[in-house]
Order: sequence, then structure tokens, then C-alpha cells
Amino acid sequence: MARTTTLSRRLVLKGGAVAAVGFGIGPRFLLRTAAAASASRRRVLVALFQRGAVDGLNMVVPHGERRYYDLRPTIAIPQPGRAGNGAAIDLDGFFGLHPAMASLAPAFAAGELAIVHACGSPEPTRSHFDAQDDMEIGEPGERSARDGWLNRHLQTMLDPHASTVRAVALASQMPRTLQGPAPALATTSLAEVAFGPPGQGALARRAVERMYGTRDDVLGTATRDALASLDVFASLDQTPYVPANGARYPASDLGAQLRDVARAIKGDVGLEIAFLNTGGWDTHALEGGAEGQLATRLRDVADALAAFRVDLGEHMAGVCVLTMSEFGRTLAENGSAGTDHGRGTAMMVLGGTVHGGRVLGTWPGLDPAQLADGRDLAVATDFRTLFAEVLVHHLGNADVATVFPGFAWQDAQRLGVIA
Amino acid sequence: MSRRATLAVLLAVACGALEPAQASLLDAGGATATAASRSAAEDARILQLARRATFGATTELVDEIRAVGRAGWLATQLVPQSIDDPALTARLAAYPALDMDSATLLASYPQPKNAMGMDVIGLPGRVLAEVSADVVTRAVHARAQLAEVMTDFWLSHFNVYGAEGPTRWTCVAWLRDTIRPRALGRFRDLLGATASSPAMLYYLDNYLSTAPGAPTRRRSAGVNENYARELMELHTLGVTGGYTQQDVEQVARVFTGWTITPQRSGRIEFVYVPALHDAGDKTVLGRRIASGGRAEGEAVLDLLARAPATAEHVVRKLVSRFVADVPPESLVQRAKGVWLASDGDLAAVMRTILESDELFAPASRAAKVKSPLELVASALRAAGADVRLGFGAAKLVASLGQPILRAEPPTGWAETADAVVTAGGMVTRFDVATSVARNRVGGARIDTGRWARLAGGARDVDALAASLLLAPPGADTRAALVDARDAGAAADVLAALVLSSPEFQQQ
Repeated sequence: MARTTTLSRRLVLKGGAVAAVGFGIGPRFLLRTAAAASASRRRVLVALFQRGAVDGLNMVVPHGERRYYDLRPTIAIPQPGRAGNGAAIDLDGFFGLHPAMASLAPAFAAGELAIVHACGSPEPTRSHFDAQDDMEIGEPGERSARDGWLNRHLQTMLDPHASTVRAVALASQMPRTLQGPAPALATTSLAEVAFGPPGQGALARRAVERMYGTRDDVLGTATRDALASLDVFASLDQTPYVPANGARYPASDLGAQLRDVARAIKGDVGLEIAFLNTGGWDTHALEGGAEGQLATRLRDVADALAAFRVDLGEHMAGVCVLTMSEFGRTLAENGSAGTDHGRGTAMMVLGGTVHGGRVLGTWPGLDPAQLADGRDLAVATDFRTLFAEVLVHHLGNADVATVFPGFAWQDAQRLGVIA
Repeated sequence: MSRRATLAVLLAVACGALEPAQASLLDAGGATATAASRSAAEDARILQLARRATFGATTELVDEIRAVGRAGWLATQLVPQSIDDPALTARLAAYPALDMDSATLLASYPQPKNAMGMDVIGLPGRVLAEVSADVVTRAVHARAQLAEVMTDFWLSHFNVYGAEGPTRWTCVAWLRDTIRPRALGRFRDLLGATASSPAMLYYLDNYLSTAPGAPTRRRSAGVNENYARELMELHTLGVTGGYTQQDVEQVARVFTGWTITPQRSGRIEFVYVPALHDAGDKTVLGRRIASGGRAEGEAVLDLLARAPATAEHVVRKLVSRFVADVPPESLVQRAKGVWLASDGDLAAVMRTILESDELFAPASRAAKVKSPLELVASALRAAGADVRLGFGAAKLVASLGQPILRAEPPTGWAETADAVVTAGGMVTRFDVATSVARNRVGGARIDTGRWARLAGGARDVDALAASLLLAPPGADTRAALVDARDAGAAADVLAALVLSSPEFQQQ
């Protein structure tokens, strides 16, 4: 990883102003922050990976399809108006949101939430690992590739003034999609500014700076990046963060992480890419319908995203949230009231740049001849069609050929998901 | 010459580790200085060996190696079954899953819907938790340290994902029956054991692989190439090892019918089903494999295990793991020669690596960054921890980004510095150091009073650093410790700083 980072300096808050003290190699860090601030119209992408293959057919319900109800006798979501709170929330007369996702209905009504259904990979693998790799690398079937597509995006948009926290994965290891030569930060929490033993943070911090400050190896570089990143977030505020507009995040990992991301966006620290994981989607057994296992997971995602949107308010204008999952699940429920690995699924796009209020993409239908391998919702929209549109029209990167090698992108055939 | 050094030389002579010429130095007046410098050089070698062949050098371990000599210590470590370790056996009794067969595991750790009031111990996830705790407990406490380090190496070389499907139960047999007993045996045996293990058959989908149109209970039948490809790309020849897509397809046909017992059998074992096997001759790497059922697979494993490309691929990884991220080519070629001459005798290969000049060369000192498991285990060893339950320690390993047996890609966990060091990960490393120094690791007991004793009440940072690093710290680290001491840091904070130092991240 060839890059240089100046020795980080300790930053303290003085009457709201950030001041550099102590260790003195020029104030480059402050310049970086200033540059990030001047580019505050910079777009932000929040990528949310639903690992384990979400059941797109119960997340965004094709309630106009009779076969959906025929093949899911115990887990189907009732048609709108059928069962009060337990019914699908109608979106367009054919599709409906899972009732546990009611908190996202206002975003759809406001035109800030779009859904792309029957979306997925052209590779027919039903292996979680291969399919996740395909979606993160952005080159389905290319097993020797190692860089992720988000890292290639960063590589093509190199910016010497980019913030240390330009790209952050809220994860304990770097996800494949951000792996590669462009710098990115993996950390489980952006709020984690506590350092060292209780009450000894400043002392421990000083010692670590001394031990690692001049090392030119990977340990030194990574530690200086870590300290600089901590400074960025420490500079935001020292008081507990209070979400704006009465937004209430769910008390979950995802809720806490999206709250951290919102705080970083509002604090203008130069964040461009945030990557988050959610798990628990591999519902082979006892999936549940309007309530149950899947409903609980969907409620968490919807409530966290809805709170994020409300909290950001006008900051949402430059933000786009993109959800993804490696594949969908079987149309028919299986013998254990769950679903097995399938093909197409639904992806959500939320934000100020989104031309939403619509369910987009070709709907392949659920008749036997329309299904993939006679059993699964077919993939009608290559995930790269959606991702490339977000890349070009939200992030402003026209270099689709580098980010998604081998993908024939035609702007004229885009979904129109970004306004 | 200090009394301790003299004692060490005498012990070395007594154990036959010193050449007579070296021993005679002791007789000649004025030669003790030379002997002392030789002893210092040997001490450096002992330390380097202890750092690379175990999960963390400690004062006790270095004394043990010095007592029996490097060669003697290594000879014992290379035959792990000869090492009696009742204390470890007693510790491992905390994990009941480790002794169970697959049927007992399924009954004792059932799916929630199958829980019928029998002797249920926990949910399936508990099995992998016990296996992970077992791995960490052994890393900290096992006397057969090299076997544990080798096991860790093979767990990534032959990666499986332990938290999905039947592997949630077969992860026990994977470690206990497949990997650990063969970690220092013959590569062919290890390769064959992995090929016929339910964990690998599931992870790389070979259990689904059948002759086209074979009579299966599933909707579709056909060849699955996943295992065949990784067998050659990762397990044996390496991606540049000279195989083609045609070889992948042929090897996939060879292994059709190698599968797992059906779910209704109530156990999860390997089974070869002739009716699912794609009969007919195959050609692999230009060799004809005559139609012969299961024997075809064994013939292909013979071919792959003995290929020079396999020796080179695996030896290069071993040298990278034990010597330096960029492996010295001279040693790779020498160890490859030993592999080919000994038919893949892993103990002989490891002896070559661990006695090599390349290992002890200045360029190899501090040339490795500790992986998450190495960092956690070495910190607990340095702290003299008593790991009664390894669950908390295993969680620390996971927090550093490499949860045990939960690497999803078939490449397993990488262990070179550029892969194991991330910015966020460094902060977590410091958190781990603080947890260990302050006795905040669930299931482990750490006597925090030892820090003040070692540091003479928090004043002697050199003594404290030396006891944890077994070598003087670098100038920056020492200056940081002195500064912290002068700022009033307590002994446990100083210990946390030593465990946070770059010197402790390296091995």
C-alpha cells in the first residue's frame, strides 16, 4: 500500500475551534479538513450489504401475482387492505412493502425511495461466497480479480486532498468491495474515540504517537491513519450526539452505525463512501410472514434508514443509500417454512438524488416458464446496471469501464433511478 | 560471564547441544568471553525460534529451549504425539463438543426446531464457539506449540467456513480428526483427509457433484467444479501450477460421488456413492486416470501431492509464514528439495525451515507482523494468563477481523503484514493490549499484580519491557514508556503500552 501520511497531530477543541498542538509537521491535516469542507457538495454513497441473500419477494411483495400466494401458503404477505397492519403496504397497485417496513413508506411517497426488483447477478451461482464476491468485485465470474469495485471507483477519482475518512467500512475487516490500493478505513464504530485505559487516554495516545510516529512500515502508516481518523471524529463534538428532527434510530448495530455515518456527514469530515453490513437474511427455516424472523430484520433496516433520512434532513440532498444482497430466494416456500437460495431480489435506493416513488426494472413474472430454472424469480436487471447508474449519475464518475470491467454500459438504457 | 549464561552453556553441553569444540572453550582460560558471545548469538537464535515456532515467546519457554538445546527442543516439537500434556487435557474438558461424534453433536446441539428435550447442551452455534475456544486455549497453553501453529497454517490453507450448514457440527471432526493429527505428518495424508472430510465436501460443494443425469433426490444433478478448481489452485499446484480448465473439468468428474451421508441418517460422515460417480476414463495433467470409482480420486490426489509445483507452492507459503512475508528464495528451493526427497514429509520440511540460516538472518528478525490469533495468544502468554474458558479470548481474535474458522473465501485468513494490518485494526490491537494488561478478558485470569512486581512498582520500564518483549525495546518505544512513567502511568498502563508497542506486534 504505497502512500504517505504525515505524522498525525493531536487535536483539541478550544471553544469550538480545532487547534493543532504539539508534534509539529505542518498543518496538513487541517488543510485536508479544509479541503474536505470546501468540497462539501461532494456526494456520499452509503452501501448496505444484506449478507445471506434477502428474500426480495417478501421485502417488496408482488401482491398482484397470484402464484406468489399459491406457492407461499404460510409465509406470504397478505394483499394490501386484507389484514390491517399485517398486510403489504401498497406502492403502485402491484408491489407492496413488507408491513414491518412501514417507516420507509413516507420516503417512497416523497419520491426519495426507489426500488429495483428482479435485480441480481448474471452468474447463476447460488453460493453465498461466490455471489457476494461477484457483487463486491463487480466482475461476476472473475475469480482471480481481487480489488473491489468501490476501491476501483476511489482509484479512478484520486484526490490528493481527500480525507483520511474518505471511504469507511463499518466492519472489523475490510470488505472485498473496498479492498485494493486506494486507502480506506475499516472500523466498527466511528464514534469510538475512547483510547487507552479509562482516564489514561491522553497519556496512552501520546505514547502510541511516540512509538509509531516515525516508522515507515505498514504498522506506522496504519497507526497514523487510525490516529488521524480518531481526530476527525473527535473533532466533531465531545457531547453525546443528538439526532436532528426527532429522528429515532433503532437500538441495533445498524442503527448505531447509520447514526455515526449521519454524524460524520453533518460534520463534513470528507466522507464519500460508507459501507455497512447487515446479516441474518439466510432464512432457510421459519422465515415468518408479516411477523417473525424476516420481519424483525426488515424492521431494523427500515427503521434505521428512515431515521437516517429524517436525521440528515437537507443534508440528504447529496446522499444516496444503496442496498444490495448476493441473490434472492426461491419463489416457493420449502418444507421448513423458509426459502432456499434463489436468483433475483429487490434492491433499494434512497436519497436526495433519487428519482423515486417507483418500482423500477423489468418484471419477469412468476409463471413457471418465466422463472429461472423453473423455480426462482429471474434476474431481469444486472446489478451493474443499477450500480453503474449510481456511479455515473450520483457519484459523478463516468469511468464505468474501469470500475465494472467487461460490462457494456449504455447510458441510454439506464433505469432512471437517479434524477 | 553471568551465572545464568554459564549455567546455560553447561546445560547445553550436558544435553549434547554444543559441539565438543565449543565446549572446550570453557576449559581454556580467557575463552569464556568468546563462549559468552557465542552464547549471546545462540540466545538470539533461540528467541527467534521461539517467536516463530510458537504462539509467543516467554521467559519460561526460552529457558526451556536453552536447557535442551534448539535441536533437541525442535526434535520433540516435530513429534507432537510424543508430548504428554495432562494440564491441557484438563483445560479442554470445558468444551464437551470436542469429544463427540457427529451423531452425538447433532443430538446435543440440535436445530431449535429439533430440540426435543434430550440432553441438549446448546444451539448449533455453540459448537463452533467451543472449537474456537479450543483453538485459543491450545495456542496459549499447549506444550506442543509447533503443532498448534501448523494447525493454524493448515486451517487457512485448507479453509472451510464453520458457521454454515453441516459444518456447524463437522467443524469438530475437521480440527480433531482431519487437520491436527496430520499437521506435521505427510502432506499426502493430510490432503486425502481433507478431500474426504464432510467439512470440505460441503464448503466447496463437492457433495453436490454428480454425474450428469445421476439419480439424486435433488432437482438437478451434474458436475460441480468448485472443489476441483480449488484443489489445484489453492491446495496443491497453485494458480500458476500448470493446470488448465480442461484439467478442472476432468478432476471434477473424478470426484463425483464423493459426498456426505444424507440428512435423514442422523450423522454427517463422508460416503462414496458409486451411482453418483461419473464413470469412464479421465485425463488429468496429461496422465490417463483409468475408470475405477473412488480409486480415481486417490490416484489424482497422489498425482497432485507429488507434483513439484505443489511442493513449491506449499513450501513458499510455509516459508512466508515462518520466516518472512517475502520468502527467501534460497530457502524455498532447499525446503522444496527436502519435500520432494522425503515424499512430502512435513516434519522434515519444517526442520529445514526452522534450522535454516535464513530464519536467523538479520533480515528475518521482526520480519513478521502477528496475525490476530498470534497477537491475542502471545499477549495472554506474555501476561502469564490462565485461560479457563477460551470464549472471551476467541472474541478478541474475532474483533481483530479474523474469527476462527469463519473466513468466507476459500483462501482463508491471510497472514502477511499488508493483509492483517488496517487502521481500524490498530486501535483494536491497542484495545486488546489494554484488556489483557487489565485482566479484562472473559474466561481468563491475569494476575495484574505481576506488572508492578516486574516493573519494581512502575519505575523500571526496562525490566517490564524486557519481560514482555524478551529483548530491549527500540528507542522510540523506550522513550514513550519513560514519558508515560514520568507522567504517572500505573504499572498496568505501562504493561498495556508495551503490549501495544510495534515490537510486540511483530514476531
